[in-house]
Amino acid sequence: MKKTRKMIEAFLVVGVALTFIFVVAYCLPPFGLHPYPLGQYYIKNTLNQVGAWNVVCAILWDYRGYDTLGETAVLFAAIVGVVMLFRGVTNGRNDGHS
Amino acid sequence: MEGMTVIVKTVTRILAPVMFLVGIYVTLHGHLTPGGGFQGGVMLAGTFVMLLLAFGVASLEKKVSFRVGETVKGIGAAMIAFTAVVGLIFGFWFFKNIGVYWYGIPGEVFSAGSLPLYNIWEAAHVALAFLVAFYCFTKKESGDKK
Repeated sequence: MKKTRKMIEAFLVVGVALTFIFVVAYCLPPFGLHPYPLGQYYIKNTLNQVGAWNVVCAILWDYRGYDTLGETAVLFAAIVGVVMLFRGVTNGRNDGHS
Repeated sequence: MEGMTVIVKTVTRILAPVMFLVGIYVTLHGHLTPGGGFQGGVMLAGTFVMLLLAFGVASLEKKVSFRVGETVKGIGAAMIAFTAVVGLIFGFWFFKNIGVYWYGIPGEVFSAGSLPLYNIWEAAHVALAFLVAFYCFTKKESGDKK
């Protein structure tokens, strides 16, 4: 009895999930079509506006500079946190900060 | 850690300069070829970690000490912000690129405005940041906790 109920529950969950997956997959734009013009804008205008061959780098450091600055700040904060955590551990070496 | 066997040391001696050079290449050509500041910096950090594992912490710390790593890391992070602020100083907006910096000839190393500068600072920041983190991770807990 309990096993049957578990099976029914499992099939229910899988069925609902599959339904949503197929609905979403049906609504997706076809492969290779660009419904939004932003990507084409970058490809067309990067060479004139930035002068870089690498479009990804131009987006990273020019069009989306704030995002990359935030990432760098996150990395900086992480390393500062690591250094702060290991501040009291010296291992007999002179690190100049303990 | 005192380092590893002769085999590992020999392989490291051959590989480390090449890896370092490839890291610098990826960084400097970040705006031309796939890659960039972060990827090149991680390559440099990988070289440091390889040296650290093969020759021991004390050997690497003679060349690049903890203090030097922290300093260069901070300078790199600060220069990223400063390179962005330069646009503000000249009467444009934050992260202004062409107009403040040189346009150059597309395809050459010194072109694309501030992108190479950003890549260099980012590489310095990332490489030394990972080195500092690994210095911290190789420490051993010494008896009494503070």
